[in-house]
Parts: sequence; C-alpha cells; structure tokens
Amino acid sequence: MLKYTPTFHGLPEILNNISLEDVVKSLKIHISHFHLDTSICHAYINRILSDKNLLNSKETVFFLQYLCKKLIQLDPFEASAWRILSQIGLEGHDIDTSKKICALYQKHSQDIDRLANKISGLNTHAALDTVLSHLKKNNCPFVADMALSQTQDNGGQPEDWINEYIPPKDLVKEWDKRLFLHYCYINNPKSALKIWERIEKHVQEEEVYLNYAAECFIQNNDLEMGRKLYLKSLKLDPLQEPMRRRLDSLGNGPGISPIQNRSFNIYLYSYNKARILESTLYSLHNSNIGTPRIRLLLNGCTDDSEQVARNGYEIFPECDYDYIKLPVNIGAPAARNWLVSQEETFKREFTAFLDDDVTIPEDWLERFTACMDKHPDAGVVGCKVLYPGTPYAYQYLFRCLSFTTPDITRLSPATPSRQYDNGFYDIIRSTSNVMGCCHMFSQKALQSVPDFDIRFSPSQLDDIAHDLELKLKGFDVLYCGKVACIHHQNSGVGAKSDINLNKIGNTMGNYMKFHFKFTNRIKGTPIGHE
Amino acid sequence: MKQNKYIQECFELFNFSKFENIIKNFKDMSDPEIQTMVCASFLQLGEYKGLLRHITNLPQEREHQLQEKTARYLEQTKNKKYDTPLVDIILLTCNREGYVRKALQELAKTDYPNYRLFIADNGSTDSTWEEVQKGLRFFPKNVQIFSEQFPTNIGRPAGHNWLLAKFDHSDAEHIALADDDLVKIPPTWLKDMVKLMEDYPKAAAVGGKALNPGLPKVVHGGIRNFTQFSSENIELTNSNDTYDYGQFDFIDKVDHVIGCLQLYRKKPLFDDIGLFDIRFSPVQFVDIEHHLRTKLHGYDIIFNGLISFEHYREFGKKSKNDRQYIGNAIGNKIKILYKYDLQEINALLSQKQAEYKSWLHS
Repeated sequence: MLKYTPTFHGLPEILNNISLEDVVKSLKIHISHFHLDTSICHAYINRILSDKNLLNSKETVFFLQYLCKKLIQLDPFEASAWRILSQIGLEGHDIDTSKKICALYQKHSQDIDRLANKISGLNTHAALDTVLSHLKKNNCPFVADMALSQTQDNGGQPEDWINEYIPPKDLVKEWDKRLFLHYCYINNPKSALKIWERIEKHVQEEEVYLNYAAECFIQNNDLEMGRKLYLKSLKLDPLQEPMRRRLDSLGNGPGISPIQNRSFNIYLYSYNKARILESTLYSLHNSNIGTPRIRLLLNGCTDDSEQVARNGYEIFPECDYDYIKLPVNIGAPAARNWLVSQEETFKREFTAFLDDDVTIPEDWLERFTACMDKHPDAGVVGCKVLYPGTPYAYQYLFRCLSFTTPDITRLSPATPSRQYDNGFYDIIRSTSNVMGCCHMFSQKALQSVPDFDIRFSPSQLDDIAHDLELKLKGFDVLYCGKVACIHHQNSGVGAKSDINLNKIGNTMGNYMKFHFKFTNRIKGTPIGHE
Repeated sequence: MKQNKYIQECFELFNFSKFENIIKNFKDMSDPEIQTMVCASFLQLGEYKGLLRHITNLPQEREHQLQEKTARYLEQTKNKKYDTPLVDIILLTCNREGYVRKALQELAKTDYPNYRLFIADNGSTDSTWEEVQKGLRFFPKNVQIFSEQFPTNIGRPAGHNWLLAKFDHSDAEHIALADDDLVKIPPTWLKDMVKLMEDYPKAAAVGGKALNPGLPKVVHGGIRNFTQFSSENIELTNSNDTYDYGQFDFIDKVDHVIGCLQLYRKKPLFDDIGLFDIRFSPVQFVDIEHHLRTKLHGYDIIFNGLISFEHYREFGKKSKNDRQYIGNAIGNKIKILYKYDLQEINALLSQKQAEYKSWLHS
C-alpha cells in the first residue's frame, strides 16, 4: 500500500508529519485566513518546540514568539505561553504579570492537570458541571479560566457563576481581560463593552483585544470606532490579513443586485429528510428569489419526502418548479450531475445549489448575484455557514490548500475552532473553496466544469474538488460572508453526535482520493496562496 | 508458471484447447504445471472418470483435491435434470461504443430458456446508446428487454442498484450481472451457474473465470480469497494477471468472484445482503465489499473455473499507471477497512477456513 498520512488526523498529528518549513508555511496560510485561536496556537507551538532545528531559523523563532504573544492575549491565564516567552525573551514582554501567572500556576498545576484529565472526553455539560463544582473547592483563576472555556462551549450558559467569582486581587486586570474575551467569544457585545470600559487603557498595545472590541462597536452600530480600532490593531500587527479584509469590507460590501431580469436555476437534492426539507423549501420561498426555475431531486427517498416535493407546486406557484424522483440514492455528486445535465441548466445565467437542510436569509440570491456582478472572474460564490442555536457558531467559512507533500494534501480548516459568529468573517474574499450547502455557479463555470466527481460518493470533498477544478480552469471562488446560511446538519459546536467509524472511513477514503487526484495537478499553481 | 520446453509445448496446446493431445502426450510427465494442464484437460473434455483414475497417482495437493471433487460432482450430476427458473440479467454500460454491441451479441447467444435483460446506459457521451440498440437486436424475440438511459454517469454501484430497485424482480429466482465489455461468453454460462445455485443451496453468488481477450490465455479473474484484512491493507489472492494453464479449472468456495459475469440468488440479495454500496463509486472494490457482506450473512460464494469468458476490462488495465485510479482504489480500501470490524472479519475468515477444510474433504 502506498504511504499516506490521512489528513483526517488532527492538526497536531499532521504537523508532526511535515517539515518545519512546511509547518511555518501552513501557519502563514492559516494566519492569512483566520484569526488565531488557542487550539491552533497550541498545535503550532508544540510542533515548533519539539523540533531540534527550531533555533536555526529566525522566521521560526519569530513565529514562535508571535504565537505565544497571541496565546497570552487570547487567554491571559495561559501559563505555558508566558513561560515560553520568558525563556525566549520578547521585547516589551510583561515580566511582572508573567512571574505572577507562572508562580500561581506552579502552585496549582497538579490540581489543574488532574481536573483537565477528569473532564477529557466528557460532553460539554458534564465537563462544565465538573469544573464548576471543582471551582468551589479551588477558586484559583486557572480553574475559573477552564470554567469559562467550558461555558463558552456551552453557548455562554450558565453565567451566574461568573458574577459570583472573585479573582485574586493582583490578577483582577487579567481576569477582566479574560472575561471581556469570553463575552466576545460568545458574541455578547453588550456585556463585553461594559468590561471594555475597565480594560481599554490596559490593552492598547494588544491587537487581539482591539479586534474583538472593534466587532463589539460595529455591532453596536459604531462603525467609526470599529474602523479606528482595526486600524490601530493592524498597525500593531500588520500580518493580520483577515482583519485587513474586514476593515476594507466595512461599509463597502457589494450590496445587492436586483434579480428581476436575471435568470436562475435553483437546485436541491434530498435524501430522507422530509421535515427539514419542507422547512428548507419555506425558507427558500421566504427569500427574494424572483421567479427562478427550481428543481428538487429526491435521491431514492423512502420517507414522505415526495409529499413535501408535491407541496412545492403550491409553495412556488410563480416559479417553474418541479421535482425528479429517483428510485435509489445515487449519492450527492451524481445527484448534482443529474440536475446539471438537464438542458435547461445552461439557459440560465446562474445555477444555485441548496442542501435540503438549510435556512437562508432573505437576500441571499441578490447578494450572491451582486458578488458575481462585481467579480466577473468568479465561477462560484458561497456563504458563511453557521450551526443553528444561540449564539450561532461557525460551521464552515472557506478553505484552501494548506500544503501538499507527496504524502499529504492538507486543506486548511473551514473555520477557526470553537468560535461563534461575531462578524469577523463578514467579508467578501477570493478563496479556493466555499461550502456546497448554499452556493451559486455562473453558467460559464458550470459549462467549463459540469461534473462533480462521483468518486467522492456518497458525499464529502465533492464540492471542494469541484471548486479546485474551477480554480484550475482559471475561475475564482468567492466567499461572501454577508450571507449567512444556517445548516442544520450535525448541529452544535464541534458536534460529533452523528460521527461514526463508518463515516470517518468514508471521509478518509475520500481524502485519499482527493490527494491522488490533485497533488500533481496543483503543483506550480497559485492554489493555496490566496 | 515455470518454463521449460515441455511446459511451453503443453501450454501452447492448452491455449488452442487441444486437450486430447495434452492427455495423450503429457499425462505421465511430472512437472506440476503440466499435471495441472492434464487434469484441466480431462475436466474440459468431460472425462471425469478418466480424471479420477489419473489423479490417484498425483500428490494430495489442494488443487488436485479440488479437481477431484469437481470431477466427482460433475460425474454425479451428469444426467441430473435442472429447473430453469427466471433469471434477470442486469447490465450497465458507459462509453463503450466499441464493445457493448459485441457484449450483447455474446449474451444473446445464452442458451438458457428463461431470462430477461435489464440494461441501462450510464450517462454515455459517445454512441454507446445507439450501439446498445443494435446489440439488442441479437436477442431472441421471446426475451423481454427493459432499457434505461441516465443523463449522467451515476457510478457502477448506484447504476446496478437502480436496475435492481426500479424494476419488479419478484418473479425472478436469480439476478445475473453482466459487464458491457465481455468479448466472448460460452452460451452455457447461465445454465451452468444456475445449476451450481441449485446444488449449492447456501450459495448466494456464483461466478467464473475471466480471461483477457485473445491468446495466450491470461486470467484476470481467478480464485480470489482474502490473505490479509488488517488496518494495514486488504489483499486477495491472484490480484495480478497470470497465464491460464488450467490452474483455476475446478469448482471452489471462495471469498470473491469477478463481478463482470456473475449470478446472485435473488432472495438473499434483496432480503439480507442488500444493494451495492455507493461509497465505492464509481468502481473498484464494489463487488469485493458486496461479497464480503454476502459471507458475513453466512452465505457461500462459488467459483467455477470451467465457466470461462473473455472480458476486455479497460478500467482494470488503466489502474496500474493512473494516479487518480490508484488513489480511488486506496481510498476505497480505506472505506472498507472502516466499514467493518477487523476482528469480526478475521474471525469470520478463520471460521470459514475451518469450514472449508471439512468441505474439501467431504
């Protein structure tokens, strides 16, 4: 069997299998796409520190410092990052705080390690309960910090314990910073801004806080303050490409394009999800779509989806609506191809695909059209995909190739991990892949790459492969963060409820197919460097 | 195959089906390869008693045991009357304008009196559909034919599932699968496979020996048994093409038979084993996985090397050099490994091995 490192492995395993040079390369790509989060920082820091060649490269040392600096901003109670910074030295490093945090951590480290082990593998509710009950016995800020993380994973609830918690007097400032971030992480700008008043003067040199505060002000309709804070942040760290894009996007979106005189196909395919399919059809009906041609393909459904499909005639009386019933499930890529293969496809200017389990905003089609109008090179445009629930968590934003070696083709993550939507990614950008649950193709693009590859049946990576094919043909792939689609699949942050070995195997198998399909073909192309 | 002058000579005769000459000139020679050809010649000529006499002088190796078992079975059933239940043959074709007409012409020679044909064009972009129409004209008028044309290629597993699910097969006893690139098929193939189904009631699938077209005879579908099913790899015997010198010319219980021409017993297929798994789309390991499922449900798979057919197998040839194709194969192997519990599979294989031994000596 050919050697291959499955890219389904977590980032730490993947990073351990590539050279330090590739590690840095993939980090740079990540930074150009997403805000850093604590788990990404940990993965890269651990990988870099484990490399004996670490000190041979100035760039690597720079990024090690960079990551540690971010990490202590993202979580002021990250004692390990403080310690590393003390060891390797960094201009402007807050030695006093570092000493305080490290000394306190030293005192509690065993207890914290035990607690971390105890909650490992528990679900979010059970983990939070365990940490909160531990907090009653040991109210050190590291336990409170863990409790905040668990509360974050729990959608920000419960919060009463937060008001009751009293941090050590000499770490009040750090606790306030942590609390500010907590409210930002769970997208509660009102509570965050209250704390901002207390910490503002302390964090003027810390770009992470300025970024989060910027979004709080933007949500509070103070666009000017948001802009000001982003400008300041970018001055402190010019490498923050996502923040630059966000700044550029403020008040500068493509808006909406009227669609009355434009022509669209809207394609959906469904497999045994009658109820959610019905909601999806109503969501589509409630959006501004004009009078498109709509086709719903029932992919071997055995539930009452056909009744829902028949209701479509009444839901869309003004549209050219119909449904196609197949006797068996032919898989997602073949279902897409079946729809695309109809002659009518190419008589319309655009073809949008929707999954059978989405809630879409009113203006999705108008915004997609506006994006396409503004970016004539784009072959496809997709959107910000969120999990249902409160607050909305990111499910899928955009992806590119992180790096490729003869053994690995690694895609960048689709979102930063464990993040709720706070506006950071309400941008329009070129990328290599957008999610297939709500995206729209130009006629020219579909004519150029009409087929989704059935080797990725029944699903997983078929959309990504199609987007890459478009890129290889010179089309751009656009992400439009001004459209938020709620995708009901696998609901919940980091939801794993629906994951089993069978599905993992399918995904891993498809990653393998993907690797062999593209590795040689993308060499020397700009894919992966957007 | 070892090479020497006699083996070479015998092999040439074997290629031209000069079985009498082989028996006459080579039956006393000791080379194992020659003895394989001699025994195969007895079987090919239907001289089962002759083989049984000859084989007593040969070492008790598995191959000879199987030849002997096959000869005894064929001798016993020589005059047996068999039923001819309805068989539905399903055939999927995609972009085979150069082959499909010939495949249909060959199938139309099937001498079985009670079958129907279900054919689907799987999104061909060439003139396959027109060639199918020409090919269908070869079939006798009494053969009912149902055809479908898909607007796109939905892959082999989904295509077969379509033909299985869309049409009413309730009257059929068996379902046969035939590929669109079969080049030569013996007219008796279906009769012979149905016979095996009757005589092996635990069998859910029956298949034969697939050869590359032309000479010398090269087998690409022989005896296929799992030799490895671990997290590292899945391996089966006889994965590579090999010269045909009769080494597979007997009946055997196996883990897999080539899917290009095979017969399923309908009831277990629909009730227990289930449809083909579309995760292995477009091809590769579809049938291996389906046969694995067949065995997991307690059914046997019977191989009869005396039913041999020629099969063009363009896709299979491509696999050796095509990077995407290799990736697809490895990807599908991974999918199988994760679909099944390795311990369960290995326990099954060990159990089947023990059962096999007692079957072989029965």
